[in-house]
Formats: sequence, structure tokens, C-alpha cells
Amino acid sequence: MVKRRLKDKWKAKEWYKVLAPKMFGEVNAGETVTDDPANLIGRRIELGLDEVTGKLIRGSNLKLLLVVKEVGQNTAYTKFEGHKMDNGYLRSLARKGISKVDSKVEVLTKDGQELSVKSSSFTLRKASGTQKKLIRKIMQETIAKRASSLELGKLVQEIILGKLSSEIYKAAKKVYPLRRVEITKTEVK
Amino acid sequence: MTGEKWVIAHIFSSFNNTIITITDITGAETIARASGGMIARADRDESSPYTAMQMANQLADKLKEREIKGVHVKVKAAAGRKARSTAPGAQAAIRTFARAGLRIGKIEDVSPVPHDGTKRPGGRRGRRV
Repeated sequence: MVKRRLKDKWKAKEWYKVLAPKMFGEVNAGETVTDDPANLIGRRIELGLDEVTGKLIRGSNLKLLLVVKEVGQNTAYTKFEGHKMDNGYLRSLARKGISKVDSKVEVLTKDGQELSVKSSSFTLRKASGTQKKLIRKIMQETIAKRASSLELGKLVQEIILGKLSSEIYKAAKKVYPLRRVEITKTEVK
Repeated sequence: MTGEKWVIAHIFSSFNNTIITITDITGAETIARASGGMIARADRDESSPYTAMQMANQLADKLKEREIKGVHVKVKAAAGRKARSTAPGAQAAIRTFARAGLRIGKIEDVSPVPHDGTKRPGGRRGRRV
């Protein structure tokens, strides 16, 4: 009884292709299924970096978060909503005897998009409180400066390619030797 | 018969049960699901690898019928205050999916990790059986 009812429901459903936003070249992000297209809006997809670029970028510790905002003929169009970094990878960086400096900044991109950017730096040894404060300040300033001079798409690209984090690395290592800097999370407001 | 579509298999595996829910990649639409109780007779068998294998086999048949090529796997343990490691059911289910001819994509651990919460039961000296 239950089985038959389920089957009938399934027949009414249709598959929709989900496309990544323009800044990622509108690659196919996968398929989703529904009986009512109105339900699609607001659905969220996690997309690995390798799927966007075809396995070119160093390991895929990053995941892009895309939200469906428009539905067309059997296709759903998405908007970039942020990215996040693999938790396991971040945990592997945090170790005993080193300091982890976290920062969060709210920035405005050149095209007026509000964005919050979270990042972490890992030092070589334990840093003092003042050093950590200084590093955090540098992180925040570098991110804010870069964000205000770039459009959202370009900024996201710099984050993904690791340009922004290496910039922070260069600036902050004068304060204390760093092991690694990562932009761990972004959220589009 | 073989399609191009990828779906997600959410596998919750505790030491008392295994629950597999297959959804589309957004996680909003359920395609098929199975739990230990749908197959095992005894309560204690709900979490066993053999049950997980049968569940995965059933699901794989259903997925093939619906023209699905492969699954991304999200494994979840009981976690929180309880055991952080996945029970034997998870691994058996993944292997069965692979054996049944489904492609396995990314395998990810999505166990909930508390940012601190209540204390684990058992007290200072541990559980005394």
C-alpha cells in the first residue's frame, strides 16, 4: 500500500538541472528533483572545487555553497552564498604548542555586496597575546582592503585560489612566523 | 538503464541502528530510505553490518530503477555526547553500494560535534558494569 503510493508520487516529479552562477562559468552543479518548481527556490547545494574547475586546484578543502534563486525550463539558476572549509582539514592544522588566530570581518565589496569573511592563521610556535592581536588586526585590514577594491566574483576567486591568504601570510609573518593562513568561511549577506 | 544523476546517501550509523536516507544533492527531496528495523527481526540486529548490507542492496535496486549513476556519501555517527566513531553498519553499506554497481563519489563525515554541552554519562569513575 505504502509502496504504491510512493511510486505514484515519484512519477509526478521531474528532474531539474542546477547551474552554478556565472562567476563559476555556469557549470552543471547537479540535478534536483521536485513535483512543484516553486519548491526549488532556496535549496542549497554544496559544490566541491574540483567539480567547478576540473581538478586543477590544490586539494579540495573548499566547498562552495550555492542557493537556487531562479527556475527556468528544467533548469535552476543559483546564486553564490558563501564557501566553507573542510572541518577535518582545519582540525589537522590546529596542534598543541601553536597558536590559532581567528578573525571575522564584515566587508563591502566594490559592487556593494555585503560579505562576512572568516579566517584563521596558524603560527609556528605559541605567540603572545599582543602578537595575536596584531596578527588579527593585519588579517582584518588586509581582507577589508582587498574586498573594497574588488567585485564579488573576483574576490571569491582570489579567496579560492589562495591569493588573499598568501597576502595575509606575507604581511603577518613579520609579526610572528606563521605556518598557514586560510580563509575558512565566507557568507554573503 | 544507467543514468547520469548523482544523489547523496545520508548514512546515520549508531550502535543501535543504521538509517540510510537517499536524497537529491540539495538534501531537500528524499528519493529512498531504509532503516534497520525494516529488515532485522531482533532489535539487536538493527545495527549489524549484515542488515546494513541488505538495506544498501534494496536501495541500490531502487536507485538503478530511477536511473541514478552514483552516490556521494555523508556518514554520521551518534556523536554529540555519545560515541564519535561510526558503527560497523556504515562501512558495510558503503561497500555494498560499490559492489552493487553504483559509483561512490565523495565520502564525508558529518557527525555533529558539540561546541561543548552536557557532561557524558558515567561519572568520574566511568560506567561500572
